[in-house]
Amino acid sequence: MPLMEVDTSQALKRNNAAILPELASREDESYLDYVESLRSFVLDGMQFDRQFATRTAHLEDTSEPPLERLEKVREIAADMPIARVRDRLMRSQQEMKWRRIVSSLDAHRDIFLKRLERAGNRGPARLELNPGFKQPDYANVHFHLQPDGYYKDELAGFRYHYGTKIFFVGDNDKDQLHASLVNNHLPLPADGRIERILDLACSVGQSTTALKQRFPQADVTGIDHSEPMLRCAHHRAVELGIDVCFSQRLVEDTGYEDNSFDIVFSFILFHEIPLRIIRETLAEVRRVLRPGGMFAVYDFMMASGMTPAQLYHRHFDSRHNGEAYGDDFCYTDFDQLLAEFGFGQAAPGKRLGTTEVWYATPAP
Amino acid sequence: MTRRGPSGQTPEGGAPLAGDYPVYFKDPVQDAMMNMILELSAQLWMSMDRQYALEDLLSRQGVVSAADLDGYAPDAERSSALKARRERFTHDILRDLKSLTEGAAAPSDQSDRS
Repeated sequence: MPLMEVDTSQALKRNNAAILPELASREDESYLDYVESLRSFVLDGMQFDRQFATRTAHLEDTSEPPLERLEKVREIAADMPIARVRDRLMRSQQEMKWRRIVSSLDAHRDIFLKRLERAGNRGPARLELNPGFKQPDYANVHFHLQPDGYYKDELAGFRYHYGTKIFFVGDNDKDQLHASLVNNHLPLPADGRIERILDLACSVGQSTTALKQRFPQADVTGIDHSEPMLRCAHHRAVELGIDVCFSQRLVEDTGYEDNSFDIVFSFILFHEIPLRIIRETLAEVRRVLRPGGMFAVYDFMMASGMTPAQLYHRHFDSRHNGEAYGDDFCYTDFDQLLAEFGFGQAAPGKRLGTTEVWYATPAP
Repeated sequence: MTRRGPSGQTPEGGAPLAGDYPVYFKDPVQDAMMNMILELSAQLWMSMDRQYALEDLLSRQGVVSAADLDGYAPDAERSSALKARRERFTHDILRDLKSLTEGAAAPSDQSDRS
């Protein structure tokens, strides 16, 4: 079924997700539904972790340094055929996903570009692009194997968005995961003052819009280095009628004034930047977050707390799924880094599945 | 086992990235076979999904009901044709397994067959 040039708000309702980019045909949707099921099978259905655990039970003790545990884990995995199959399937489902997403969206590239253009100056959402912006070298990675990475193709935001639909195996089709983090797992600053919120590395703006929906009185800004992501984020927010600002800036050098935000929100950013930038970003957040403000970080687990299977997955993900800097983050001590850059604990951290959460505030 | 592509290193340290065609099994042919099976499965699902949609639409429009489809009984001539097609289909898919079995047979058997 060809994609028709119709009213955008209607077209976006073509699939169940309502706010996802629609694909060129039902066949493409079927294909990607299959890939989503394949991913679900690899993650859960084939019960790799359970089988792996029976061979690695003696490596569960997390008091041993994680890199030493990883080496032992890899030796065991090398002797397990199911590990080869799991790796092959994991890699293949990513490759299948991107091939089909790219070809499907490219089939109607002109329509998507027209939508971005039309949204350009429409409100209520605002878009601030920086014509002289220079992409940092460290961002020149095809994260998650996404073809052309995050900023080189004008449709990168749409590609990323549909890609994450499959990554979350359908559990985030309506941004419910972002909404849940914002609504259920974001404590307020102790004094309750929330006037300005900064969403770091907002990509297509799913948490940015969720933040605005929870805090309608606040000025909410999402920043990202990628123009295609920001344009897609802005387009989505316009369609949803949500008044947020998207601005092209670096997380490590935002350019905002000191103490200018009440909440700084960071969802799955830190594992995608090298350690040097992690450190610079923490210094920057410490600078722009006002005393008593809330710095909420949702990211990968630390390797020190991982099971053998999780260590194995992390190693694979870093090398075979384009998560080039994942190890930089996971093999550091984020609590220690927060303390080093002048943060104290604002609330006890928690673990949500395999996501680790930190709540920090500028130390007095 | 990994074959690294030319862009194996990330711009700023980080993990060395696998290239475009990583190999996970001892023989790259096994990787190719696995990918073929996965692609075939995806294509099959697309076909099944479309058939389901077609049947649903035909049923809703009163052209053919689900009961018609379930109760479909081909006559003798069509039954025979279907059987021939099914056997051809099975043979086409399992052809390689047959050759493996033949390859494992004793050399004398091979010569006898030739």
